Amino acid sequence: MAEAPLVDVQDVSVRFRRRRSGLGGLFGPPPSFRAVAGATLTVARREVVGLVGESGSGKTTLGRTILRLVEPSEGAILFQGEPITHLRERALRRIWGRMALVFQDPLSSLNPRHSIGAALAAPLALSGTPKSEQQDRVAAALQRVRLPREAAERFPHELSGGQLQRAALARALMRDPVFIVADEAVSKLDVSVRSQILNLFKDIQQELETSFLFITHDLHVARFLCDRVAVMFFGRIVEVAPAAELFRTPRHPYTRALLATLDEAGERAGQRSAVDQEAPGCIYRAQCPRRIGRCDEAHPPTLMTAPGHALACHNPG
Amino acid sequence: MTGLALEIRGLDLMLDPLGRRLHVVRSLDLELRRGEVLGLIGESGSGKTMTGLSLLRLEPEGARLTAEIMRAGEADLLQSEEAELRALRGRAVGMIFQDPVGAFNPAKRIAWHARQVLVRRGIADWRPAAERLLAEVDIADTARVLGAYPHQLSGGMLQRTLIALVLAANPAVVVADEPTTNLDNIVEQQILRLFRRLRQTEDAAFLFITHDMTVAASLCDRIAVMYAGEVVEIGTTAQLFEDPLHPYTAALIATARALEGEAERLPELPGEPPSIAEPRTGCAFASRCARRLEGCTLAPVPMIPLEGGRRVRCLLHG
Repeated sequence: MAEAPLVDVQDVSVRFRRRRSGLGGLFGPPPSFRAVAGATLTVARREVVGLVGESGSGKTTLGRTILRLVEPSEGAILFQGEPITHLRERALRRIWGRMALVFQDPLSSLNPRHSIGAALAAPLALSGTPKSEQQDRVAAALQRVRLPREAAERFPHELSGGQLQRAALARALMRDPVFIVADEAVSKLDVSVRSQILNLFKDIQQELETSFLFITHDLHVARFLCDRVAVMFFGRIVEVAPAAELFRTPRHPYTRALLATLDEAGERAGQRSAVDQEAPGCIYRAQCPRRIGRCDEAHPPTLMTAPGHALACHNPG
Repeated sequence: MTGLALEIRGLDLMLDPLGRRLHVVRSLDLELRRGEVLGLIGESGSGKTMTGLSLLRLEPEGARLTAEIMRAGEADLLQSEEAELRALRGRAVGMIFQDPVGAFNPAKRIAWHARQVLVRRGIADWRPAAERLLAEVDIADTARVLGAYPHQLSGGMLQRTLIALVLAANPAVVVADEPTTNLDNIVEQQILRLFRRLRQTEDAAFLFITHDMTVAASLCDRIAVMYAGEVVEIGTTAQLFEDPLHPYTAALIATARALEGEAERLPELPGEPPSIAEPRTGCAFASRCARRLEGCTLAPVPMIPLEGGRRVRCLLHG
């Protein structure tokens, strides 16, 4: 029997309430918007899963929901086999020690008035680690992300973009998490620095056997780092497959359009138009070149078309 | 008349924030022929955006801009009269920004913006002209777009609209500063396709500023690579990709290739770009360069002209 997944996301939806606006908003239930709709996804131990999609597709919300920084409206989330879907903050604290988040902008996760050393030691102090041990572990974390020991004395504004992202990664690693969500963690870095950080992510993942959910809009980055890749469109996961397979034989028309952008001569993608989430039918049908009658009736169920390859499409290519 | 759409010789731009002198663009030479697309590649802080703003004479207040020559078509961009400069902006040099929202007045409909540009060009019957312009950038629903406020249009649609309005003024040079960087992959590809088509039909020369080698390669005739305020290499796209001469160019291309291929590991450049505030005696790239020579840090490295219009700022080729 296969090992149970580390993270198990089952049919999760996240609704955000919209503000009422205009006359129509006076009546009926307050309008809501499904940032994530019926997402099912697993992350195995030691696995790196990529989450790709365009802005507004719900990637970030799904990542934050798995960390339970957002509470899902429907569905279930299991972490190491334990349901965490509706845990309260006190119980979550225990879970959060084993999970971490790395942001696009490392400055937002580092207090500008704390030295890097203090920032790295803070989570250890919280869990009651003795002072002498804190320093050793800070030094080890800095070495792991290949920052000089002296970096502990520096303040965030004294570091360059690449050094800051290393420091943010070191901070995420302080409590030995088994699972890290990295949200566009290399998007803002300069080209000549980005490859250093991408290699570092790969090394750390291999050394520590950490599982990652790597959220990115950059398909090349996803292919470089990830074992499997999930593709999101307007709140729905439309396809999940092993990275090499997804890039070689994408089956969902949206995945195909997305991958075609890597190739100048690729097929022309349709104009993006407004999507009515509540109308029945496939979420992608308005721009889909392979639309058939059934696509207007219901959003397709997600089916396994090959081992590890999940697809939500009535008429895949 | 040189026949050049743009000619820059010896451009230097010095900023002076809080008394710290920052030399952000250093002895820069560029020339563009009509109908040509030149890619200006660089990382943040390399001076590429400041170069673009200098062409519009929108350099930051208090900056010191000097050059031997800076001309766009017939217009001398080294004017100092603000009224004259205002007349040149848009007409001699047009600019397409990364964030199109900032280029529009949020309280006015697109039609108002179109009328401003077209009436200024002496086209009294502006409405049909505006519809033609929008159609040229692949906007089908021209009436709806003209009646919309900027916030009602998607990022891609607004970028198309801005491109149409900039081209409407018929400038000699269009500066496009990371015009697709904020767009989603599919929309980005559509806008790049639009640029590839417009360059065939428009007279203007394009200066396309980007950090992305792959984007530049898909669009540009020639590429200039900037590092720490200087152009370090300039040549045709084919020359640069087949045989990059400057070690920095070579590193950028190797990284782009590795990420597009199925590399297990990416080639790394050690270190990070230097701060523009750091004093320097020689080549700004020397500290990261695996092929550094003894002379590299002793004196500034001149631009070395090579065959076929190529130039490189590197002693390995001197």
